[in-house]
Amino acid sequence: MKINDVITTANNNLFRNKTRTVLTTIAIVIGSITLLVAESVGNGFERYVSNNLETGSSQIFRLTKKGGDSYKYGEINKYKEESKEDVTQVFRSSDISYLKNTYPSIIKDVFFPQYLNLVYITRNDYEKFTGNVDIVYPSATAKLISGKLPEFNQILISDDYVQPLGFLNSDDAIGKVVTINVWNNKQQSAKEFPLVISGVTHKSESTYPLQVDYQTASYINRIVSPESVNPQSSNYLQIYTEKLSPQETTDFKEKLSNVGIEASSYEDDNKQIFQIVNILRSIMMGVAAISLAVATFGIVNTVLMGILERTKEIGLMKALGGSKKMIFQLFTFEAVCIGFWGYLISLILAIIIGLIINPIANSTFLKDINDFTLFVLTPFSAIKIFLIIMVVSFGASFFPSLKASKLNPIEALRSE
Amino acid sequence: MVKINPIIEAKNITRIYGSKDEEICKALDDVSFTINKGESVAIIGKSGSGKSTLMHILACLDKPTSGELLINKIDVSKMSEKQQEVLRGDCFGFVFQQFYLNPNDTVLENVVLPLKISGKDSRKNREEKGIAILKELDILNKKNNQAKNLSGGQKQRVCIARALVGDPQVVFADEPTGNLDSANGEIIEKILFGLNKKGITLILVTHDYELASKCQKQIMIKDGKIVKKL
Repeated sequence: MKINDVITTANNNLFRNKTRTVLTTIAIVIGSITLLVAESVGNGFERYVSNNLETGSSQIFRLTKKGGDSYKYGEINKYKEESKEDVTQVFRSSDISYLKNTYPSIIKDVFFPQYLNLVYITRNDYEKFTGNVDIVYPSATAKLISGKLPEFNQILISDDYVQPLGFLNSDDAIGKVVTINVWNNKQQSAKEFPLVISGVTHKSESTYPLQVDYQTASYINRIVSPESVNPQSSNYLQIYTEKLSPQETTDFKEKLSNVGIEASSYEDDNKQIFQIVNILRSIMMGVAAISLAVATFGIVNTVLMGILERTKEIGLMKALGGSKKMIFQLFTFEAVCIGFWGYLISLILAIIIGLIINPIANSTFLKDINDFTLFVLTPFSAIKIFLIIMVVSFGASFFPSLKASKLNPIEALRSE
Repeated sequence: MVKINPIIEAKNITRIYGSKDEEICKALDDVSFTINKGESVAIIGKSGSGKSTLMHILACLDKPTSGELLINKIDVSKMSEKQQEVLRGDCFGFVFQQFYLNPNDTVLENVVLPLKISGKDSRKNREEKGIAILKELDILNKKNNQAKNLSGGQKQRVCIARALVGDPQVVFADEPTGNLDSANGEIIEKILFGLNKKGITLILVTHDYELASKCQKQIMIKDGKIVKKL
């Protein structure tokens, strides 16, 4: 039998017992729609997290001293009076030279964390706008609309600033000069710095809308607040390293740990958050897998019943020259066809669910969260789940079909 | 002068049901005969005599426990499963007492099933061949009817059409008139012997002596043995 005849025959055979086919298809629709929903919601979370993560870098490490206040975002620490004990738990300038001298082949630069106290940003005669400035580190993985990461004397702006500052679009902004006005602690007045726009990013929940590189920040701070560039002491330090392999990273962290310094990269933080997203996704996929397992038994049952009902027909086909392979294909393709139609229906339903639920979610429980699409059905996910359903359908029908293919034609013809 | 050309040779064929150690039933016991190309042969016997088993072995649907079966001078036991399938599909046609038509398929679909299985013809070619054979058997007007809506005689004609559509050398007919009234039985007989006149070898399994007597050769089976060859 030609393969196209096998497929059409298998598909037509589905219409012989419509009730059974419909019921099995419903089981598959339930199974695959659970998979599609789990995957899409997982995608939604993942996309949100990756869009909003701090521009992570594996080359920037945050150092804290063991026993000192380890830095965790949003954590409340008990206030400690400065005492002799604490002296060992903070970084001083001597630590910077120690690190630079001990690991010259690994460390490119060591610096105290920098902040810029922005008063406003403006351009030529346009209005002045407020904003917060983040420090972006070399080798960061930022999501850019256009341009590139800022270098010395450059600035990265979010797309929110494009029109207010009078640019036509993101591309138009690249290379143009803006002025930032930073509060000068020393003189208790603001000071202007011209910077060139290097790129434009998407607006994000967790990063500030303006970003400059750490050298620019140090340069500006040296003028406006020298004490922040070289403070007496600091609870933590940042280092910028060469590109390290995972093994080198582990070794380096261990060496630092031996001298009482804990190091964690921005990438480590991101990993943790992604881990949570992945756990969430796995739980949802687990639930989906259970419903798919139920559907699998539906397919096994359908194929077994089909074989039982059509034993005579199998015998006839074998008598008329039909091969084992052909019989096997007829029944496995029948299962695959059910899987295919079930998947197709659930894909359409999933698309509709997405179209309905996203606007509802955004106007209700996700109202206050920018940029969060709850239900993201990507082509990759759709194809992945399609393949899962096909493999499951085929697998479920494998042994019943194999059994059918081995039927003796005479006995099959004689069966009642 | 008819050219003698053995198409089927059975040599000492024995078929035992059950295992070698535990013989349950000896359906065929040392059966030998030759069927030539273009002959009409009746295998006669009572129910349980072993005649159906013999037909199944001749049609390569069953394997003899011992003995040799040559088809077109080739030993069937040396053929691969695939070759046997091709042989059944391309050289043999089957007419069954119970018809074995797929009840919900149309007449035409039933008739072209062997062509669909062998996978050589396109859909269009298959239908052309099916229509031609239905026309020949004078049942073309029923081609789009479901098989379950036909009378017994019509069903058997469809069954014969299905047997012939692949242009076989040998047609096996297992009690072809067994389920039919005498009027329809006669029509079917005429069709079958008409085929034989066109050169198709006809192997008829029956318990009906009258029908068997119309064949050129009769092989009478009793308790698995040939009791009479004519």
